[in-house]
Amino acid sequence: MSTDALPETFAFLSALADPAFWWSVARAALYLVIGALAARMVRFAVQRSLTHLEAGQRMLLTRIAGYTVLILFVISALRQFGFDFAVLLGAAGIVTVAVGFASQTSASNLISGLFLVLERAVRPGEIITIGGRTGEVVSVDLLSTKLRTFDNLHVRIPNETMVTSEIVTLNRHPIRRVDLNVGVAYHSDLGLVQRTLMEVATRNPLCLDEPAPLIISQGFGDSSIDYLFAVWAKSENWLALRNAITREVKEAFDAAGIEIPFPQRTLQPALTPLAVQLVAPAGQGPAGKDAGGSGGEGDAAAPAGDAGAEAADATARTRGSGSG
Amino acid sequence: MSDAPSDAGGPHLERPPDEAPVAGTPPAEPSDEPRDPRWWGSVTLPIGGVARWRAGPSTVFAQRRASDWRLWHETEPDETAVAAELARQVEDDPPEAAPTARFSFAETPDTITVSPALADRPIIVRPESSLSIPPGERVTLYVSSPVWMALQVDVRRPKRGSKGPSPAVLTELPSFRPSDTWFGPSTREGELCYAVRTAARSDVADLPLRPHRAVTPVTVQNQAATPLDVARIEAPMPFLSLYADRGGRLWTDGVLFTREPDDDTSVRVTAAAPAGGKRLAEPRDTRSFGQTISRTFSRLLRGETR
Repeated sequence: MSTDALPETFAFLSALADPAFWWSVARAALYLVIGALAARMVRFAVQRSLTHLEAGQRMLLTRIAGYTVLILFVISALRQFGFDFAVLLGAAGIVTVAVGFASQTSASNLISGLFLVLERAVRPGEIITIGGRTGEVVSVDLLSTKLRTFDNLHVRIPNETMVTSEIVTLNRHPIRRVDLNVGVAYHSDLGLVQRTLMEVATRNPLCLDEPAPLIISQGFGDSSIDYLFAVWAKSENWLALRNAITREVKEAFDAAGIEIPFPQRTLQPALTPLAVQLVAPAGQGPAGKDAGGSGGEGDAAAPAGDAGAEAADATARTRGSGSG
Repeated sequence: MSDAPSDAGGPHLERPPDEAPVAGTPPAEPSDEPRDPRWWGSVTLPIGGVARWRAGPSTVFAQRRASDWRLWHETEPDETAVAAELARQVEDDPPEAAPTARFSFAETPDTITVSPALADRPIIVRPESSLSIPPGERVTLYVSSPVWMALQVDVRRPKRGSKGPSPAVLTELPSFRPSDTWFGPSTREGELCYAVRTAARSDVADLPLRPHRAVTPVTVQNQAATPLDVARIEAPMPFLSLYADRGGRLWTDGVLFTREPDDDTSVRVTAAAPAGGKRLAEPRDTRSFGQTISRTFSRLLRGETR
């Protein structure tokens, strides 16, 4: 211990002996007790008054209100000991900058989390698609949002990603549309197609009567005339209706003789064959003659002979066209 | 069935003591036109016995076993089927298919009751052809909707306050499952209902006798200065009682829609027990209808199509 410290120690000890010091300790303790009680009461009051908000939002606001009150009382308690908060605030500024740089990502997630909760962008229980993943929101916490995918994986998404990404909520609205692309052959009776589709929609009890099913023409496709068949269902029944409607449309089309075509290509020769002229050099018989002659033996060989003649003919034509 | 309401506190059959028990009644002759459309009632079965109920397109078989009741529910695709068969024990074997539902008991109660019940959601009725009501007119339209078959047994579990066995609904099966529909101002708010098409007949004599459908008299009063196009009517089924008249036809309470001169629509449920009829089921929703008039109900009757 250095000799400089001795007077300070004496000063401290003499302060302990001073009744005024103990008086301020008592006052500080009183402030803390009152502060704790006041924070509790404020939290209770906020919790009670914000019943129209959701659980997550209510919890957040309740905590903010409670901690604010508590911090004010703690500051008052410290003032009893003569703390100068101007100095502390200056120091806090430097610390904040340092901590801010160090925990930039966490702070960003935290702020994003606050916005997520306040904006009610997603709520626990909802089914969302984000970044190609679809799953049920398990919880929205301050730093991250937890997702359970349908193959039962736990996905933690940083709140910053949640705030900056596009989120599709699949079950926010009570009803949902099932879209089915239907292509029918060009020779189909289009009136019959539309009637058949509407009957399928009417027969399925999960398919809502209103909003009415839609049949939207998608124009003339490569191999088929395309329609978009859109039917509505309660969000819970969406998958069941999607599966059922595909099967039912296929069955109804089969029963009505409506063809759902495979991709087709019709090929047509672009050039008509050129006129053929046999030009035999003098002293040499046409090539087809020998082949034709071999086919003359017996009835059974006749078809083969004909084929041979045709082949020879074709050869001759090729030659002819080649030479022409 | 997932679509059958599983509301255990659903309608209970109120059977006045003077009513002749249906159990043991000789079977009705099968014919195209049901002479008696009554199909509901109780059957007491020995262990292994099979009972059958037939209401329009729906047939329910129930078999009593030592430790469970087994149910089979078969529905014809043709909704206009009018077959009706009194509850009775049949000699046939139960269907070979796996039962639709099983209900296990330590010891099965010997009596099973099938009673009609109204739909568990409102029904949106759309006239098949456009219907317009001129100013100042008041018309009554008869619209019918499928009923559910509520299967009940007496269970030993006493109800609070009673000592004997009390009836418990095992399940409810739709005699014909109507299509779902959405009724509301937008695709974001509204309520799920059932959709029914109706000829909206205005003469009781014209009504075909369909054993599995209950008729609701809907009175529409147009007090405004312009004609009222009736595009759809919402019949608040959960708030209506179910009755059977002397001929066995099922009726519900009436609904009165009034289009006020200022274009508002008010809705009222009017008690409409048929003369000499019996009440078969209380409303499912025991709250007063007036308390539950919501935004949806204020749009019950709309001329425009959304």
